[in-house]
Amino acid sequence: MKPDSEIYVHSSPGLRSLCQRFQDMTTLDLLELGPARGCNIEFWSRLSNSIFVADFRASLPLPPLEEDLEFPESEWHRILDLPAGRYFDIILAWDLMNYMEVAALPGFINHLNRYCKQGTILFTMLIDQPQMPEDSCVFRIMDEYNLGYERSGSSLRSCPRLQPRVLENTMRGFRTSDCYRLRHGIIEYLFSYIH
Amino acid sequence: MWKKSESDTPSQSSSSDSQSTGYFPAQEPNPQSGDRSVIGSSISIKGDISGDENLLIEGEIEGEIAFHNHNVTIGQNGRIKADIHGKTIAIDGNHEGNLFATEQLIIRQTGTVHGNIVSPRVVLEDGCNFKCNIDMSTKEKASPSTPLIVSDDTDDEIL
Repeated sequence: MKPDSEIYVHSSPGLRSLCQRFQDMTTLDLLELGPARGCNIEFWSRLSNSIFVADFRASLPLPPLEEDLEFPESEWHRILDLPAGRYFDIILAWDLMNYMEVAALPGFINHLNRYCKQGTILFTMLIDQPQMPEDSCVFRIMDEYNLGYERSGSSLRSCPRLQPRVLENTMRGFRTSDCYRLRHGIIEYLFSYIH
Repeated sequence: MWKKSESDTPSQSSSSDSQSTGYFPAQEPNPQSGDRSVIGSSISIKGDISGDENLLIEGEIEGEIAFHNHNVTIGQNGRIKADIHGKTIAIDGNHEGNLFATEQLIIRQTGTVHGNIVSPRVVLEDGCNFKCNIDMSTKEKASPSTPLIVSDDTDDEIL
């Protein structure tokens, strides 16, 4: 942890719901799009056999998109290189989608679709505040009810305030399974893959 | 949200993030005791190595490292391109390749790992550079722990 980082702990009904869904599974394959944190690995090790840590946060911000153009598939493989032929049960996207251009989101979701199977759950958050931290948070699972938001630095930037309807329309192949609006300005989503 | 409230709780480091985590479990030989072989920082090896004692690597190795029943430590100066088999493996330096630990794998703050990990227990210290797959299927499942805290965010809204 960086010396100037701070951690704020909030309850997470989305995380709780996620844990309850998978608590009886005997094998579980998890994709962590955030950076590796020991406490998270330890937490998921109780439920999961296999964890792929992609650290997509390190790839942000993405290169600027030319107007109305999408990243080609090959570019997504470079940006977010995931193991071919693998299908995850859980994808942890945290707040990362708030830090991507709206135009890049469909390509991002299409890329993730390749690694989903029926019932895959994607956990993500919208920030519904005028401002948000300059960089995406690193999330620490304190327990199945509580998440620690680790901020690096105190600077803020304007928040895109992606509207829930826009997000839901972007999530091709997924349907909204659970949604929780938290009083600190976060909307937690569990999306279920139904393709 | 981005200001601390009274209900906000300072971070508690998990056991796996603890800076006091030793390289090896208490019952293992003390890494400082000299009860191990050392490959020094000026040594470069291309080829496979194996043995029946604990090993500290501060040099450079390309090949396979097989110390199945013993502990292997990659020191801060260590630069390894190899699959490593060991009981407990601790990474302080730079490693490319797959890691197979029968007891536990520890990646220290200064450690960098690019490869796959197979180990029943993995300990990551904050700051380590880590991008790979962890396979923990060799361990028995523990039951989920009792929740520590239920915060007061009781008026969160289910949409």
